[in-house]
Amino acid sequence: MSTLLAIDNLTVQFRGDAGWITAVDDVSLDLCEGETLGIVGESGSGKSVTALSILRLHTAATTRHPTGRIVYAGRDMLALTRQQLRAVRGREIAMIFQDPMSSLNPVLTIADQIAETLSLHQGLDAAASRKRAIELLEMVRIPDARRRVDEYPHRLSGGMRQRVMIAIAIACRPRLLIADEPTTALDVTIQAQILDLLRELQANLGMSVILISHDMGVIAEFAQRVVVMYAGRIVETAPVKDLFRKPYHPYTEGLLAAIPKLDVDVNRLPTIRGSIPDPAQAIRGCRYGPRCPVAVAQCRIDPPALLAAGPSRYARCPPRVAAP
Amino acid sequence: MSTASTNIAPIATVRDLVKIFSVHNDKGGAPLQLHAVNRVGFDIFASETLGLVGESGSGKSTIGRLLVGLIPPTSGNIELFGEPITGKTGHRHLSRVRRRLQFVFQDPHGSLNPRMRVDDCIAEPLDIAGGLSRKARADRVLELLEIVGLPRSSADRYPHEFSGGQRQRIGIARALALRPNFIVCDEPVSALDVSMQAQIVNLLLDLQDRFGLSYLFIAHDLAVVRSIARRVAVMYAGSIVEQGPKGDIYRTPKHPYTQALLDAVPRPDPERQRKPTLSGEIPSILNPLPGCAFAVRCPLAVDRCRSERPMPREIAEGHLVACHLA
Repeated sequence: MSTLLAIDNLTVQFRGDAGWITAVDDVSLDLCEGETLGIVGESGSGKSVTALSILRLHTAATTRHPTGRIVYAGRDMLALTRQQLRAVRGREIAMIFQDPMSSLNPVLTIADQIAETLSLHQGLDAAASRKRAIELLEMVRIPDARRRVDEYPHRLSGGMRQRVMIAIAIACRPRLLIADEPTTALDVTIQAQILDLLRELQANLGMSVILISHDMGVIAEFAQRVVVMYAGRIVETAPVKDLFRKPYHPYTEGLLAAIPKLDVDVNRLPTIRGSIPDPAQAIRGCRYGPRCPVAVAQCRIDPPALLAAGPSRYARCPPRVAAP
Repeated sequence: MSTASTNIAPIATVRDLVKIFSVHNDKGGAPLQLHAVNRVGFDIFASETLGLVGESGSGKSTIGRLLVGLIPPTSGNIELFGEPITGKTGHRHLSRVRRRLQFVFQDPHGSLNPRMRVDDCIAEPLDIAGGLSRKARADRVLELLEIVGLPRSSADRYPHEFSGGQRQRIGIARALALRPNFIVCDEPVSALDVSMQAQIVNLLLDLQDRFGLSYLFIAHDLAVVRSIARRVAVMYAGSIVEQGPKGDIYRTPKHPYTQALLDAVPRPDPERQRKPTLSGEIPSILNPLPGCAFAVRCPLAVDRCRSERPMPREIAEGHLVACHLA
């Protein structure tokens, strides 16, 4: 399959109280046409910042222009003009977020918000875009779409709002959908519905999807390949089954062990000691070193490289990869 | 109701609890009646954890607030440590038991005063109760910090200097200050990352062993509840649809909602095949329908489910199910 998106050595820095803070550090990943890539990590891992960089959605005032390359369908995203960028955003690459309420405009009806995208990218007139809006609401399985299209977002439940966001996102049949914690704010039965919907739309529209989540369960269910991030760096990447069957990186392993188990009783959950490092503080060697149960002396000196650990597998852990 | 799995009297007894909120009617006219809690009953025993699970709007947090007397019930009875805290004389009894009862909230940031130093946050309940010398107060704060696993140096810092997990430790230290017997924990780990969640859950388990605490552990995350509770009650649209020992609820759930809920949770297992998803959404709890609240989404519902409300029946020791078909 051909590559749709390639990120090479992406580094993103924010302005901090005392100098620049590196939120994403030398991240490289690629995504094939039609593929579903999961990016998983805890707060501050850089997973959302990586995704926002693809569409250059950071505030210029607080972010340094990212370094590295983001090549989408042959175009260098970091070099596009604002106008070129606007033609890509929403048309070729669409994005949905965790909280649909803050992404929807509370004073516009659903029809108006969908029309915004349709008139910008497809030049549809009011009547045509209204018709298309109803079609889209039906595609995302909103019951009674003909009536709902004229309602305001506050009249809809959280699950229905997320469906509206998805309708807007797929309005122009994008080639890539970036979903940043799309089900995190939703109840578990509604989450299952939204994941089913995304899967169905992906199959029907042939989109590639980048799913960002903190939830290993959601990642396991939805992604084909997984990137695990910790403190701004990729620590491991693997096909989903391999990752869950045999994680290489001690962080991935610790994270999987710490998840509360639904199907068995455990007396005490294994924990990862300590907490996520302060991004403003430099750590010598491996960033996970201070919390890592298998760290050796070398880990505290040299920053580890991302090493090939098997077919389509990489892990940033020399002790594990050298002698797994 | 015979949820008793021990002969000791429960520390909390809840019977027929109802909470109706009056809410503004957009369309004008009389206020709408929101049935947040609809005839709920359960017991909590000494040194045990009852997990209360449900999706948003199920009424689980309202129960927590009713139990600690933050809001009065519309009807029904709550007894804490053998004292009725509802009814005409309830308030007098509540003030007597209040010290033995504490609350831990979801958002440790929102529940700690950002302008108070950590030692003052933790000692606030002690200050209100009064009677401690400055030295005794300071000693108790240091002891509490140690109990929850925070360095002594935390005392003169401010809440914003701490991570979410550490702030929750501060919230727990504060809840422990008056040596309570019973703590209502409302989503105490929901705002935390997985690696922090496990630490806080283990801390709560350790504290329970050490001080013989009882918890009402309110959460939407079924897996977190399994890791801490001894018994579990599942709420849907204001009612407890099923409650029982943890093993029964997770291994042999009898209510179709409990079954659907457990099935909907994504597992960290890419090989797993989920059953078809439950359709529909949680119904409005404004003017509830006469029958079972779950009937409209229930794959098994029959006519009786839509006309007659199922009451909890004991189907095994301590395992109660509110379903005509169970």
